[in-house]
This record gives sequence, C-alpha cells and structure tokens, in this order.
Amino acid sequence: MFEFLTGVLLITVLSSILLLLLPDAQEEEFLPLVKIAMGIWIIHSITRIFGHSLF
Amino acid sequence: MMPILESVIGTVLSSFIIVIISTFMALVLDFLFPSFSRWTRTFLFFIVLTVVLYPAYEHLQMIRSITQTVATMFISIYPLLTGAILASGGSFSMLNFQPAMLLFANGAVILADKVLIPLLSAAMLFDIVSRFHPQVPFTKMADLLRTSLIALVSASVAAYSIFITAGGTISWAMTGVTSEPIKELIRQNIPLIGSFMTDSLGAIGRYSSGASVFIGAWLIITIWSVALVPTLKTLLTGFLYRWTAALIEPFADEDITGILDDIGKTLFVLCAVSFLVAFAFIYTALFTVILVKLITAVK
Repeated sequence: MFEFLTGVLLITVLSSILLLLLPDAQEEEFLPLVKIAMGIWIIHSITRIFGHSLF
Repeated sequence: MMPILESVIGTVLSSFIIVIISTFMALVLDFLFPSFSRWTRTFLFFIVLTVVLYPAYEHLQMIRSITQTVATMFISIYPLLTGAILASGGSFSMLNFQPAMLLFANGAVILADKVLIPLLSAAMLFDIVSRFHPQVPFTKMADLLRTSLIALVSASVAAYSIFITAGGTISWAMTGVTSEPIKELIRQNIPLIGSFMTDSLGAIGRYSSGASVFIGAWLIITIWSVALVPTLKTLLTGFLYRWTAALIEPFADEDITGILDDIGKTLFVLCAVSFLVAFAFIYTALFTVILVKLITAVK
C-alpha cells in the first residue's frame, strides 16, 4: 500500500514538473506517456497484491 | 468549551490566513506576468499544501495516538474486568454487561488504528494528486475510500447499538421527543456524517443512562467530555477548512478551493472514526468506574 502510494506521488510530481518545463506543443505528446506510466504502475501493484509479478 | 475553541482556532487560523493572502498574491502575479501563470499556479499549490496539510496531519496523528492509548487501556483492563464479573456474580447483571461488547470495542479500536487511519491518509493523498494533476485523476478512488470508511464505521456503531438495545437498558432523553429538532438540525447541517453523529450519540447516551444508576451524572458528563473533545476539535477544524474554501472561492483557482474542500471532507470522516474510539473509551471508563465503586461498596 505504502509503496503504491509513493509511486503514484512520484509519478505525479515528476510528470507535472516535466510538463511545466516542456513547451506547449510537446505537451500533447507527453501526456499519453504519463498515462502509460501510471497504468503500468497500477497494474503492477495490483498483480503484486495477488502474488504475481508483472516484471 | 471556550478554551478549546480558542486553541483550535488559534492553531488553524494563522495557516488559513496565509492561504488567503498567498492566493491573492498569486492573483496579482497572474495579472502582472500572464506568461508565468502556470508556474504561479504550481508554486501556489505547493505553498497551500505545505501550510494546509499540517493541521490535518496533526489531527490524524492525534486520533491515532488516542486510539493507541485506548487500545492499551483495553488490553490491560480486560482480564481485570472479566475476573471481577466472575467474582461479583449478580451485581453486574443489573447492567446487562455483555463481554462481547468489550471484544467489539477492542476490535473497533484496532480497526481504527490499523485500517481506517491509513485508508484515510491514502484518500487524502489521492485527492491531492488528482487536484494537482487533473489529467491523471484519482477522484473516484478517493471517494470510494471515504464512502466505504463511513459505511464500515456506521456498521460497527449500528452493531453496538443493537447490542445495547437488546440488553434492554433504559432509554435516554436524547431519543425523546424534545431532542428530535436538535437531532434534525445536526443531521442537516453537518455534511456527510450528520446522521451518523446523532445516531451514535443516541447509542452512547442509551448506554450511559443504564450506568448512571451506579455512578453520578457528573462523572458521566466528565467521561463524555474527555472522550468527545478530540472529536469536537476535528469537527471544528473540518469546518474551518470548508469556511476558508467558501471565502476564497470567488478569486481563487478551482484547484485550491477544491483541495480545501476535500481535506475538510476527509476530516469529517476522521471525526466519524474518532466517534468509534470515543465510544470504546466511554464503555471502558464506565465499567472501570463501576468496578471500583462495587469494590469499595463491598468493603
């Protein structure tokens, strides 16, 4: 639980800082990457709850 | 009552004034440097978070330490109470003492310590994340956590009250006709947990009325106020969050008011959790007092 929350927080903070630094034009391209990262992290955490490992 | 009010407002008000002033400063900065507005929003968000999260976190810690204290009290007093009930025989049957209640209350305290408070802080984190980064929202998760917490807590309080009324102790005045308007007022004016509050107060009241035959009314009032002070403090702080959100809404970002509102909501749920702990505390304290009274009366 704690690891999952830490991961979510890290992804959010890092991606929002990157979004601030990137120019507006590239923002559209970067957002799907953030969503993919969050998705991978959530799926990884859920599979680990049930004793499996994604990686 | 007044010193509590003053201490709560004194600790929280300064941080809320910082929030109001910094929101206004951000407004002025936005007007002066429009191209800088995204950075201004981020900085404002961090300032508000650092200032505003501290009182909420302090309340979480407070309720947590109280639950731990109550849990220790239970574990130390449980064998003593059971032994005394066995020894005294008929005296306790007047009170409809149910040992299952003690187990129940203990379970509730452990539940609050191990499950409710971590889940509540997780809900708060999800709220912050979804406000800070609206493209990756977690609002449904936070809402789910909060509503399931309330469901869990009210289910345990309902179980308590079933146990108490099944024992057939005397009904207390709070359930009477005269207090009905007050209950309605509380129910409508405290968001989320209003009806839960009146119900659990009624349950506690029903229980302590049976015990007031043995120990004086003043002692019951003392136990009540000791148990309910943290709850009242949390409730008041939650209201201050919502009040600040309402005050800065016209000139602040949607995010800032939203986060204040969300933290207020979370504190209301924390208040419900602390009710559970307060109930457990009242139960143990009453029985300990009765035990001491009985022992001294026999001598």
